Amino acid sequence: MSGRVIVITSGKGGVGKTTASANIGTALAQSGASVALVDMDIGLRNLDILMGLENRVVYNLVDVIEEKCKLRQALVKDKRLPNLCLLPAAQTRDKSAVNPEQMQKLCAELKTMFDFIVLDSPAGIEGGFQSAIAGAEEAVVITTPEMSAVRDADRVIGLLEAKKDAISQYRLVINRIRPNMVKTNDMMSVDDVLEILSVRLLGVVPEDEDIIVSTNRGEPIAGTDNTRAGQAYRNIAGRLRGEDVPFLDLTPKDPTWINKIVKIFTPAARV
Amino acid sequence: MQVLNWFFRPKDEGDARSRAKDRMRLMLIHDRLELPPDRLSSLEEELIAVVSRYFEIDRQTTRFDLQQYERKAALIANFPLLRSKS
Amino acid sequence: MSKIAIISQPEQGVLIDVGGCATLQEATQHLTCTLQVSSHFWEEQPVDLNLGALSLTRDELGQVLATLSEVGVKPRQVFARSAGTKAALRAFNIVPAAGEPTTEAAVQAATAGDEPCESTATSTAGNESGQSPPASKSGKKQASKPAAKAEAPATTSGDAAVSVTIAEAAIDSAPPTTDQADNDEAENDEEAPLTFEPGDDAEESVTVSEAEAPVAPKEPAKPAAPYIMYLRQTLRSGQSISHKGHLVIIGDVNAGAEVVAEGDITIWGALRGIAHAGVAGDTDAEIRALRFDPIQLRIAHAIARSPDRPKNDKRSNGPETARVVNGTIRISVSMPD
Repeated sequence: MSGRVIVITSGKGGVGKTTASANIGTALAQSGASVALVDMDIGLRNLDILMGLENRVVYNLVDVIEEKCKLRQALVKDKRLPNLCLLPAAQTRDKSAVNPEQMQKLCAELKTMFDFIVLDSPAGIEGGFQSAIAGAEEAVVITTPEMSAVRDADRVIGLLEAKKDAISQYRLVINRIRPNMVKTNDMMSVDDVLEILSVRLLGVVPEDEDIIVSTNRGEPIAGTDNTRAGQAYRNIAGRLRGEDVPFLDLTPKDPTWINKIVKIFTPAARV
Repeated sequence: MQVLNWFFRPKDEGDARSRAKDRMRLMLIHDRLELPPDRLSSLEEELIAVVSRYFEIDRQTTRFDLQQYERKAALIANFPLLRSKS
Repeated sequence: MSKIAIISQPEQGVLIDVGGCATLQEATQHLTCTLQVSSHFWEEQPVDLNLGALSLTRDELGQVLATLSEVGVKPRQVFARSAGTKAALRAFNIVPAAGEPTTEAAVQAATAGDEPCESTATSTAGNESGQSPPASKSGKKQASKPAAKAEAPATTSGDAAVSVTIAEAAIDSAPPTTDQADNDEAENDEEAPLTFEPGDDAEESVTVSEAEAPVAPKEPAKPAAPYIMYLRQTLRSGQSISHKGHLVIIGDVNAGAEVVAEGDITIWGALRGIAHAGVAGDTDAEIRALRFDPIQLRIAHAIARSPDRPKNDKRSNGPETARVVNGTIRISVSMPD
C-alpha cells in the first residue's frame, strides 16, 4: 500500500486549517479509508483538541522523531472511527525540533501504513511550514474570502509551485464564505477568489456556527449529518478520492416571513 | 511626467466586494513580481524615452497596464504614434 | 532557549553550568536573567561553577564573578577547560578545579529528613552535550543507570525565576503492552471507569492504561530523594518541570503544562495539565491538588485520563489526592493520612 500524503496549509493563521484537517480526515475515514492525521504545529498543538483526543496523548511527533518511542505508540486512535489515528504535536517544544529530512522519513513510513496521511501545517512560511510540506505530495490551500487571507494564500501557492517536483498538485478550499454577504457585495465571491488566485478549486465551506459547537465537543462536524459545513467537508473528501461531487448550492435563501418580521424589530447587530 | 495612475479603473461601483477585488488584483501582481512601484515608474519612463527616439508619441494617451494571465503577469504598453522621427 | 544550567543535587549542592554558551555576552546575559532569586537561597548552598570551553580574559572573568556575587554567590569550585580561562582564574587567586564537574544524578537510597527549600533552578533544553554520560542513552537497556538529561525549560519572564532541574531518567522505549494497535481497549467510553466523579464513599476508581506512562527503567531500591522543590508560580501551556524528588507548586498547572517528579506532586492550585509522579517507578507516589481537572494523571506506570463526557456537576471541587491502588489510579476526596 502506498498512501497519499496531503498537507493542509494556508499561510495566514486562523483561516481553518486545523478544522479542515480534522474534518477531511474524519470524512475520509468515514468512507472507509485508513487515515493518519499529523499535527505539525509543534508547541501550539490544537488538532488533538478538535478531535477530542487531548487527554489520550501520551507520546507525540517529536518523541517519534527522537526515537523515544515507536510510531505505533504515539498514534492515538480516534474515539469513534477505528481506522483513523492522530499523531499529536509536542506542546513543550518548538518548531525547530523537527526538520524537513526527518519529516520525509516519517512520511515514508506512514505511507506504508495508511491510505491517507493528512498533515496539518502551522501558519506562516518558515521552518514549521517547510517541515510540513517536506514529506507531502499534494497540498490543499485553505483561504477565506478576505484580502489578507487571499494574499497569504497566494504567497503559499507561489512557494508550492516552486516545489512542483515534489508536490504534484495543489487545490484551494475557500472557507467561511457567507453567501448573504456575497449577495450584498460585501464579501468576495468564490469566483472572485478563483479569478485572483488562478488555482483549481477543491471545495467551498460556508460559515457555520456549528463548527464552534463541534470543537467544544471534540467531535468534528463532518461526522454530523445535518450541517452544511459538515456536508461541505464530506464533499471535499469525496473529491480527494477522485469522485465527481457537485458543489453545494450556497445561494442564500430568502428569509422566511417570520425572519423578515423579526429583523424589523431587532436592532442590527454589528458584531 | 506622465506617470499614469496604476490604480485608475473605469468602474465606479464603490461596493466592498469590487474594491477588494481590484485592490487584490494589483496587490498580487506586485507581490508576485517582487518589484517596488517606483521601479515600475522608472521602467515606464525609460520605455517612453526609448519609443520617443523613434516616434513622436501622444503622451496624454499613452497607457500602461499590468494584466494577469493565470498566475503570470503581462505588462501591456500602448503608445499612440503621431509621426516618425527620422 | 536557555543555555545555562543550574543543577541542584541533594548532596552536592548546586552547579551553575555556563558551558553551553558560545560567548561571554551570552553567558552573562543568561546568568543575570536566571539568577533572579531570593538571595538567601544561595547563601545556604555550596555552588560550583562550570565554564566549560568558554575562553575568558581576566576582565571577562571578573564580570562573571561580579554578576554572581551580586546575588550572593561565591563559587566553591570553578571548572574550566580553556587554558586562557584557567590563567584568568589564577589571576583571581582561584585554583581551577581538577576533573569534570559531576552532573549525573544517581538515584539515591532513602535518607533521613525532608528539607523544604525554596529553590529555583533552570536547565537547558536538549543540548547538554558533555553532561550526560553516553552510556545512559535513552531507553535501550533496562538496567542502565538513569542519566541526567535536561528537560525543556520552564521559562519565565522575570520575577522569581522558575525552573526545571534534572529531568526524568531515560525512557524505556518498549514497554511490552503499550502497542496501541493490539491494545485491547479496556475501557469503553460508555462504561468509562475513568471518571473522576466521587461516589458516595470517598474513593472512586479511575483506571487507564491504553498506554503505559513513560517511566525510567526500574530501579530495585525505592528512590526516596528527600529534596523538595518548592515553586511559587503558575505553569503555563508549554512549560514543563521535572524534579528528582517531591514537588510542591503554589499556583496552577494549566492545560498544556507538564509536571514530572520522582516523588509526590502537590499543587496548591488547579491541576489542568499533565502530572506524572513517581516517574522512576515509585507506585506510592501521590498527586494532590486543590482542584483536580487534569488532562492526564500518571503515577509510575499507570495512566489515568479525564472522562470524555463533560464533567458531572456534582463533582467535588475541593482538594483531592490521586494514588495507585491495586495497579490503578484512584482519586479520593480525603486528604492524605
